[in-house]
Amino acid sequence: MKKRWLALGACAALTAATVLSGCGGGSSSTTTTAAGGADTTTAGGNTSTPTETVELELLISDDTLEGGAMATVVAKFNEEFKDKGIQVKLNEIAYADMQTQIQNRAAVGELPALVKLSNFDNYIDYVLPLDDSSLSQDDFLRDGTRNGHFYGTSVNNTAVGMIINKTAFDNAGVSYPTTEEERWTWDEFEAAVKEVVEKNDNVTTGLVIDHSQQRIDTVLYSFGMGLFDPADETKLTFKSDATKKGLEYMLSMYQDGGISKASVGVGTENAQDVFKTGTVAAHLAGNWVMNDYSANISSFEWCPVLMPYDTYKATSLGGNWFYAMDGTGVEEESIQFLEWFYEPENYTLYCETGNYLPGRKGIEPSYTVEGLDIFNMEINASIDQPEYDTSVLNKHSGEDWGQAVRDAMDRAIAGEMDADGVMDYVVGEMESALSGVTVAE
Amino acid sequence: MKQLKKGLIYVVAFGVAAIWIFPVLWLLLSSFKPGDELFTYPLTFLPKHATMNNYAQALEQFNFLRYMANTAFITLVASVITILMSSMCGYALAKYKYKWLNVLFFCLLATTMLPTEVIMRPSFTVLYTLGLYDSLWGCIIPTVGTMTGVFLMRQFFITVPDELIESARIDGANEGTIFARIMIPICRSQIAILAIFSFRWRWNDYIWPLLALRTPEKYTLQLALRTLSGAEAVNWTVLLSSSVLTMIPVLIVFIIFNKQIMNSNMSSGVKG
Repeated sequence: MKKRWLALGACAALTAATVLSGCGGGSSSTTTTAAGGADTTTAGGNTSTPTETVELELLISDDTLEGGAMATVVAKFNEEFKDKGIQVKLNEIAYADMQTQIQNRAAVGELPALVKLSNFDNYIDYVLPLDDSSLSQDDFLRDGTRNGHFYGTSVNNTAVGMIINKTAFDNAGVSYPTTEEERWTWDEFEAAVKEVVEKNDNVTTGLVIDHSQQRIDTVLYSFGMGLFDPADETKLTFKSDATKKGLEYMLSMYQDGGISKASVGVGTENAQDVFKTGTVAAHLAGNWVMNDYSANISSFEWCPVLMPYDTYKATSLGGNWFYAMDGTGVEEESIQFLEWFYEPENYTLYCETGNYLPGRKGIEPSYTVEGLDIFNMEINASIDQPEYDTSVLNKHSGEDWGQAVRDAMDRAIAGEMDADGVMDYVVGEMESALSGVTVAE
Repeated sequence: MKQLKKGLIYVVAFGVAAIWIFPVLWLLLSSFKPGDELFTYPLTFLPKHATMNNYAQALEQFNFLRYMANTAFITLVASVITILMSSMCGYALAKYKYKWLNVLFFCLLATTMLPTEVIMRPSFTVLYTLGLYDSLWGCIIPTVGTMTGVFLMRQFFITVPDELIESARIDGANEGTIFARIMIPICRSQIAILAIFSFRWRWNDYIWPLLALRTPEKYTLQLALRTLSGAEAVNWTVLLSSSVLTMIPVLIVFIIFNKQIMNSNMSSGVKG
């Protein structure tokens, strides 16, 4: 009898849900109604009416996860523009689904008006050049120019950096660098974390590095590695004494008596999650972990410090691009939104809400999370080679050489190859994937 | 000796059950842990400071009711159509004797060798051409024809004696009546099994909603859950609580149909 009631209840709930959903489930496009006019739909989710109210769809990922900065700024825009005929609607999807969604929508001609994503080279044919807008490449830190046209605005930057377990360092009485004068060499860093591990019973690992090619590259850059010859971008310079020294140093971290652990090095354990356990002295990560650590670590204190170096001081810049799509029928309004978004007041609000490093020059946000300025120091102190390599790789967009450095490192950590093997593998992968490049003599 | 054997069977059965239940229990209990407790070392099975905050955050962050309604619509409609199509097709393949019917059956069976991923692009093109892109029906239509269901029903209907159908025909029943009033009632356990499978497939379906939908108001629970895994971070607290919430409907369906599945004695209405 009980089960029958349960079944009836479940059926009723499902039916109600079905009715609720069915009401809005049949139409194949979103429309916005303005007073006095019938709906007129343009491409994608971007809609307009005869009274010229345009709804721009902004395709984005991770906004809620990172504090809802874009949602905050969009709410401000919608309020300011409610009588001016433009409204923006966020469409937040998973980061991993962005490519699938954009490709599908390009295939059926229903692209969103605006996109925030970590790359635009894959869709360059569908991206709207911003040459006729008031925005200019000179205003931005990262190069969004391709084939002589300005396509992508660097909406927020990320920088690779070091986060330490401050409580463990303080307990051990070991100092850490927050000014250029105090910056560690890799040997000094190694000695410091070994001392921290020795003097803290609960700390068992000196350093964890994300299972990421960018993070590995950053360490190698500090030893003098370069993917391409600065004088000739067709010459591969990855195979060098500097790279070998860097690789051998990294591999020594994962050997017996080393400061790291192989399970993190090959990605079996997630470095970010392991750091949160409090058993690790330092995490080579980036500014993006700050929000997560602020929210989810309370058993110990942590803080960002300056990265160790060998020959050079280096970080790797990353981040997201913000761009408009072409062929949506609402290009003018999209540009209008982008211009409004990058006004100092609005853009500062965006950076402060999401604790983002600004991608636009001349913006100085006040952050709620302490220590973010360290990453700006890293950017200012970094050599140019990482950015140069990125700009060369951008010219080879569509020629994917995968994650060759990371893959080879995995095998090297597992003992399947040495530093020379890693270099041979990476150079081989680059040569076969990238057109017109050869190994430098 | 018999007691010992029985005891051993119980021990093994409980052991296997524990292996299955442990991760679910871990998920359930972790969903009540605050964010800073999820990764403390050593890990604890029970939450030290249990909180409902994660659930409150999940319900606040997502338009849960809308996503739940969309998912329920897709699941319910697709499951009903799947059951209808599979039982009709299975019955026809098992009980009607036409020249090329077995050939057709093997052709249909051969389609199970083709991974869904292979036909995804052409299916998407068909879906778009039919005007089903960005419609919940676009998540239903491509999924309802399942050979697994047809095969399950056909294999059952083969075991039903032909005499049952013949006597019904003699009594004046037409084909529709035989199917609806005699065949369907005796294959309730198979329908229950297919219903559970279909419900679970559609409820957890990720790839078709991802391909077929582009408007946030039409997203399903699985698409919404996925947004919690970002490029560099995962919102574990909300992900765990949301996952528990999405499990509840599937659990209810299993409890409802549990009896039918366990009742394997039902085979036909004819005495042996």
